[in-house]
Amino acid sequence: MYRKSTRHRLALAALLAATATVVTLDFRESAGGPLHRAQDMAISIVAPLQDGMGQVFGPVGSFLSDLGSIGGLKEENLRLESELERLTAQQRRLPEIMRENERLKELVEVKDQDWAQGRTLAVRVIGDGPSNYEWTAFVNKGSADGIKKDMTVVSAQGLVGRTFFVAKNYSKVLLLIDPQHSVGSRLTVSGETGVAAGRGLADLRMDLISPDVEISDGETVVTSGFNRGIYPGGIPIGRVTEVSRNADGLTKSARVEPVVNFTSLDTLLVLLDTGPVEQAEPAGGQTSSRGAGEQPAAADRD
Amino acid sequence: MKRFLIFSLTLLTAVLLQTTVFSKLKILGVSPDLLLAVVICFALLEGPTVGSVLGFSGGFMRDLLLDAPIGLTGLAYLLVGYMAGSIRPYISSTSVFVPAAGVFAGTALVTTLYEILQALLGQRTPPLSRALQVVVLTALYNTILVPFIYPPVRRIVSFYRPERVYQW
Repeated sequence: MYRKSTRHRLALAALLAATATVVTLDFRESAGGPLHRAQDMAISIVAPLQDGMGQVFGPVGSFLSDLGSIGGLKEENLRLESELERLTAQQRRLPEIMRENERLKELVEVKDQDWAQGRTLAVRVIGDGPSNYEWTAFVNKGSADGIKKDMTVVSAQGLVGRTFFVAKNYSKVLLLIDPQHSVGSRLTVSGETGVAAGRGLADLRMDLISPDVEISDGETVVTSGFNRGIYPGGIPIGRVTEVSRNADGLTKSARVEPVVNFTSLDTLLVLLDTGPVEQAEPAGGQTSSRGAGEQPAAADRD
Repeated sequence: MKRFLIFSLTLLTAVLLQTTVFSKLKILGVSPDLLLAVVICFALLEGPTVGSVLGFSGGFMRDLLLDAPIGLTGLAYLLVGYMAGSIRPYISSTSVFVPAAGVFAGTALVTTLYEILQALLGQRTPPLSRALQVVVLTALYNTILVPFIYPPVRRIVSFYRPERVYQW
C-alpha cells in the first residue's frame, strides 16, 4: 500500500513538472515553436472529426437547442408543433438544402456591399471552442485556401470576427462577442467613433464616445476601419439599445446589440484582402482622432 | 498501453461532443465540461495515477484548442484527477450517486481553480457574478450528465482492465 501511494505521488510530481514546462514553453516560445505546431496538429485532428460529428448530430443538436430556448409552456407547444413540422420536412432534406441555398444567396448579395469588396472565401462553422470563457468558432478552411491570421470574417448580416489561429485546412475565428475582442467602431448618424468590446453573452459595449454626441436608440454601429487595419470600414456591427453617461463625465458608452446571431452561425465569408497592414505607416496606428485617413466608409443608414 | 489508447479516444470523443452537440445545448450560455466529467469518472474507477495522467493529457488537449496559456487546463484537470483517484479506496458503494457527487465537486473545483489561474495570469476574467454562475452551472450540468457518462466509462474500464485484478 505504501509503495503504491509513493508511485502515485511520483506520477503526480512528474506531471506537475511537465505542466510547469509546458506553461513556461508556451510563455516564451515564438510562433512556429513546438507548442504552436502541437496546436496546429490538434486543430487538424479535431476539426475534421468535429465536422463529421456535426454532420451526424447537427440536426439533433439544433433541434434540442431550439427546445432549450423555450420560455413558457405555451411557447413550447407552439415551438414543438413547428418543430414537428420541420422534422418531418427535414426527413426529405429539402429544407436543409433550401436553407443552405438561401444562406449562400444572402452571401452572394453581401458581395454587393461596399464592405465586402475584393476576394472572399465562403467557410462553414463546424464547431465551437471548448470553453465557457471564450467565444470562438472552428471553420472548415485554412491556410491552404489562402486564409491568414487576422482576416475579417463576416456573415450576411455583418461583422462576425477575425481569424486568429490558422492551420492548413482549418482555422479558428475569434468572435466579436469575445471579451478579448474589441473593434474601432462608428455611429452611423453622427459619424462619431468609439471602441466596441465584446462581453460574452451580454450585448457589446461601445465606449469612448465623446459626451456631447446625440445618440439615438437603434442607431446602427459599423466598423470605423482603423483598428490597426484589421477590419475594413463600414461593416455593420450592431444597433444601439441603451446609452449611458460614464461617471467621470468625460465619455459616454452605449450598449450595442450585435446584428449577427452568434448562436446560429453557419456559413460565413472570409475577406481575403483584409488583414493587418504590415508596417505600412509606423506611426499610423496611433491615430485616434475620428475619421482620419479613412476611405469613404459606406455608412448604411436605414 | 492499449488501455490508455482507448481511454484517450474516450477523452477525444468527449471533446468532440462538447464542441459540436453541446455547444448548441448551452444553458444560460454555459456548456458542460464533458471532458472533465469523463476524467473524473475514470479517476474514481481507476485511481490517482490514471486520474492524473488522463487529467493532464485531456487538459493539455483542451488547452491546445483554446486561446489561453497552454497548460492551465492541464494543471487543473491533473490535480482533480489525482484527488478523485485518491478517494477511490474509500468508496464502497456502487451507486451512481458517488460519481455524481464526485463530478459535481470536481467540476466546481476545477472551474474555480481555472478561473483563479486565468485571473492570476491576466487572461479573460468574467465579472465575479458571472464566474460563480459558470462554476455552478457547469457543475450542475456535468452532474446531470453523469448517468450517461459513468456507465459507459465503467464498461470501458472493466473491459480493458489488466489481468491482475486487485479489487480493494
